[in-house]
Amino acid sequence: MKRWNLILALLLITSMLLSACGKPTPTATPAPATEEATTAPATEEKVTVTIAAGAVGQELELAKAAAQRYMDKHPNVTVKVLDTPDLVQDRLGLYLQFFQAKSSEVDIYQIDVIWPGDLAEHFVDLYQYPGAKELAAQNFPAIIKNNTVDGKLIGIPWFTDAGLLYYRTDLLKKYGYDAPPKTWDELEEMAQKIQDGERAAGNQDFWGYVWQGNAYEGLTCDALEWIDSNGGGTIVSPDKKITINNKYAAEALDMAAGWVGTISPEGVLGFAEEDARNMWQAGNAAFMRNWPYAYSLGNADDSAVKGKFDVVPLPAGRAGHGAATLGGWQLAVSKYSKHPDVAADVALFLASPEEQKIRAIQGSLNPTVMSLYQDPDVLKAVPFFGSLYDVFTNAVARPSTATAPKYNDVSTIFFKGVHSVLSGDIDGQTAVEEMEADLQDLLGYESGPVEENVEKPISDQDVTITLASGAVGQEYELSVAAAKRYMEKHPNVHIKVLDTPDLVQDRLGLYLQFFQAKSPEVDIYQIDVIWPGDLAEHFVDLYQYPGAKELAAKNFPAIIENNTVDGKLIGIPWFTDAGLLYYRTDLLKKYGYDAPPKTWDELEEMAQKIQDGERAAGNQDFWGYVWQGNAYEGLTCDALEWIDSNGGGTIVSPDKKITINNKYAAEALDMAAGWVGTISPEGVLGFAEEDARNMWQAGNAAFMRNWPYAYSLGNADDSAVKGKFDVVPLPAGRAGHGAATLGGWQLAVSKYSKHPDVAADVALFLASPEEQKIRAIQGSLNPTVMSLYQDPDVLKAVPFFGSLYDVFTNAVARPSTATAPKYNDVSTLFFKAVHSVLSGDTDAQTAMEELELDLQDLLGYESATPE
Amino acid sequence: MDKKLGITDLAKREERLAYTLLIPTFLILLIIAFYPLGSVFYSSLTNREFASAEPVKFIGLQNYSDLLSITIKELPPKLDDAGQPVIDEKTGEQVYERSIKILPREPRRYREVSQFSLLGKRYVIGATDRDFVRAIWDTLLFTVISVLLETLLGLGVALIVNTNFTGRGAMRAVMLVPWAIPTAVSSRMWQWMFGSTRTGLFNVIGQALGLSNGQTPFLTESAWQLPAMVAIDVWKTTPFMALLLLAGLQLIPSDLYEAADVDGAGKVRQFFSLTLPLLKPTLAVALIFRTLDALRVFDLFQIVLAQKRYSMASFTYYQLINNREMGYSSASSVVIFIMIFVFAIMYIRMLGGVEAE
Repeated sequence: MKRWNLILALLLITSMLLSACGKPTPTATPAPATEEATTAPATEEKVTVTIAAGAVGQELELAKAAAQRYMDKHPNVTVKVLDTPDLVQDRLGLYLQFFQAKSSEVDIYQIDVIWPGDLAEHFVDLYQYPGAKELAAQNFPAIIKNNTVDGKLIGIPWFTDAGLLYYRTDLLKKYGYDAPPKTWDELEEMAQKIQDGERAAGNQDFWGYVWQGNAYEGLTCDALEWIDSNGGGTIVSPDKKITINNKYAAEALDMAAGWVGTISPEGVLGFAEEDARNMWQAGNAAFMRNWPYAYSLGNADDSAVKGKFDVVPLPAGRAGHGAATLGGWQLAVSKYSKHPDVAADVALFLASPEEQKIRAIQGSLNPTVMSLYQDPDVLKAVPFFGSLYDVFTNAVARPSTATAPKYNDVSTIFFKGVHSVLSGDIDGQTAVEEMEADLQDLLGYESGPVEENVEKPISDQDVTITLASGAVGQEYELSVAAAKRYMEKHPNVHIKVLDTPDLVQDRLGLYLQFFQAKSPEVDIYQIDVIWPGDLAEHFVDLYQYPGAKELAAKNFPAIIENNTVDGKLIGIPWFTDAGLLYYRTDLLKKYGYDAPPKTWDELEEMAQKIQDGERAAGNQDFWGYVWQGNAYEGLTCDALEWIDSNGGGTIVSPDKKITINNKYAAEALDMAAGWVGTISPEGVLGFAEEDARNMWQAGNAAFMRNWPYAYSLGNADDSAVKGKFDVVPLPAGRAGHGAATLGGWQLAVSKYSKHPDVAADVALFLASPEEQKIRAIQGSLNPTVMSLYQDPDVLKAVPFFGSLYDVFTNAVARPSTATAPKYNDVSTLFFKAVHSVLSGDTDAQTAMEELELDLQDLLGYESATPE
Repeated sequence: MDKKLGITDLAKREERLAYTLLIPTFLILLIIAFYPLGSVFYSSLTNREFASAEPVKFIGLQNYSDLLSITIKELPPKLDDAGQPVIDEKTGEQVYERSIKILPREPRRYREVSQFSLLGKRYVIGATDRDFVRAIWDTLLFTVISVLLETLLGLGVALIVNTNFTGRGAMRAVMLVPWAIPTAVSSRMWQWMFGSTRTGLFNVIGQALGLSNGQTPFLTESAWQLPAMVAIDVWKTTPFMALLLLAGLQLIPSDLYEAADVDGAGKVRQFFSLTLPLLKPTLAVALIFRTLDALRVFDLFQIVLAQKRYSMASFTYYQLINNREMGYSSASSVVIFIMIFVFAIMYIRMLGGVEAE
């Protein structure tokens, strides 16, 4: 009880203290314009407030005039305006010295749009002063957001900026152009022509295009515009990936470097805003890149270009649109000020709509207050402001948030690199590579591809592609090696190979989770032969990418057909599979057999004899026949082979009839159930591919049913059966021929990938005949490209491939098409039923009867006897 | 009277303050507990498909009735063409009609779960979702047996490490090792030990002792599957139980035992008259923890038995991930939730009773 009272009391006291803070004494709060008479300071104390303001163009004069207006209203307050350096970096350096000294000398700082994050600790939260919230609400929300750090309003926007192209209307007309340039190429051409013409006419000081090329923050702005308009990104993307190292960025820099000494003076490399404006305003340039402030100065009486120019958005590069770097300045009140309350009041006054309007009209400085863009007085004075509203909302921001608090270092690295390209020290490509390395060291971010804002996809920019690959046997190693070969050819592409679960069902589960989240994390999926129908909605049509049609034509038509859903190529076949019988040549010989079994009965007999013999010889762990009996997709494959080879059909026929309930199917299952505990270990009911292979490869089995991949592993040096085995087609049942379930894997490109084009290129590379050949030789993975079955190198490495050609063309497909999109349910019902027969829980007939009913319920198909 | 009123006022204000201070907690609960729960409950009433753009349809309680419908039917004896009951030649027993012919098929099909004989008649239990009904039964069995064993063993271990002996600290630390191993790892470990051939430890031991031929498939033979699961779980969670009970034991003042010694009570008497009653609150808490955990068992079943046999949670997982039946698996999640809820309330009642004592 007492504790609660105490807390309550504390809360009360705190809130009282807070409200006291919120209401500064009248002295400290001279209120806005209309009330000036009544809010004369209570104390007669003289207060001096110093503003560190910019002095570019008319800024200083405008600030001084505004200060005077404030002082007229508040006689006891003196507002001093401090002239600060023009170069942004120098200004920051000056400010930092004040902050370092915790100096109270300056009360209000004019800060750049990129500084609030970095410098927040030195400023007060303006929201605690009256009128700030109301004023903030009248500004562009994006700019207010930029000034808000941890919910505190660090600066109140004063004016905003975006790069513009200034052009001489009179000269364009003179040289026969009726519209300003839309692209950089047009600009170059026009500038050259006008420059040549003007020089010939006698003005030797005339240049085509002037801009900001000094090594300072201004160059970061200019270069960002070139690069972004060329589709080269914004140095560091908002999601913290370093994107600068791409050929479009390099191209843009090389383009600008080409201007120096041709259409731009060599001296442009030392130009800041004012240098460019001076040359332009003297009438010595046809085009200029500058901020809006130059507009009203250019129209001043002392200007040589008065009435002879206009502004438009900057030209476009390859990206198809121009880009304007967002600039702008805010007023922030120093934490070290002796009178933060008075200073805040001054700042809010200077940033008020009334004052911004005066600055807009007199200084063509862009207001941050939205309503002023519709103000008739403003539009009359600066007609182009109306169209700038859109430029501002679409301007490109410098990566100051993504790189805070290191933006300054980032910018320095960037403009230094750009400057060395412009001065011809290095080329664009080298520069962006070096920048990338420097930025990685500085920020510790990863490199990433540029966000696509261009119409046409690019396939060789900086991209990371993730491949979800299988890891059975050597698959993973082979994928990594193949990825490496691709990366060697395409240095800009980085391929990550993701190891996925061995069990097919688990792998599907993993994939589905990615799909549910529409995750772009994985770009290429290795998908099973039975999935294209089910998962089609999550993949792109590979036919739309170059080379896909040609590659598809080289594959087995049946496999391509399996991958085609509604005319779209969902996956490109990577390798194919079919069940095979592995047998021990040495043991067959030892027990007097000269040929592998042709029927299941023969297999049973041989397995039993060899097993008995080997056990008698002392190997108690020896078994006759191992296969895949776990309750999973693999059992569906094995059981389908037993049933089909016995004439029992394929569960559901291609014409959508349920055929499973027939006596040949039941017979086949009873046969297999009879193996469990006799020639196959009871544990086979928990075996997947790798379990069977492990037992076989340890030399503990006479026969094994497995996929081709086990061949090269069985012949590896660490294998106990190396050189002692061979493969043949699976034995026949009543049908008179063996059946091999068709397996195999395809590569499909996710619809949610950020770079489907690059991913498709990677997938097509991995599935190309050359790569499939390597996989065939090194991993005994069956190619899907037909010609490779006659390739001498392949046949030398895996001799049995030659005879497999027929196995593949005659293989039995699982009923995934006839039952799509419910194949998974069908298969689950099937293998569960088979598993219960094998484990002796049910007899085969009952299980098949029940399965038939279950399938009827599930699919709604009719029953029939197999063909 | 006035004074009393004042107190009520204060109490009211405090109550109000208490509610105010609780608001953030409720908000967080709302976001991280009730929202997901609510959306699972909602999708349990639909036919929603996982990772698909298929339109979602509201189907009411269909999923629940598909999951939980059970029926019991009598199996009539099988008659031959002459109308005489068929007798199995090998066993000499009566042969009954096959359940598939007896169980209803419309509107929903019932599948056989099991059969039993009562008063000379043969009955079959059918369920619309056999797997889920089996999963419920298996999970309950697993829960009861494993929690019972864990409690008994845990109590034993706790009593031992509660006595004074050299190396007691080390012993207490060692005791926790199984609990510290992630279930995924210990499951794999045990899976290897339960290996179906003589690569598995238990088969080697079994054969050495002459109990088996060294080929017992512990994880595939249905009779062995649940005992194997229980063994793994007991091995893993007994330390947790022991730890909780040890904490309870240490709360019992030692002078009680001294007094009991003076009164001449034997150790057994002391255990049943002193230790056990005083340990009851701790025991109840430990039981709640373990029972609720065991009812939700997922990792163990998913890793070791996969689709051979389900727990309720792994059934849900496979319905969601394999068959992509989001609505259906949501319904089974809700069933799990309700069952756990019921158990929790039962325990809380029990615990409340203990406190009252």
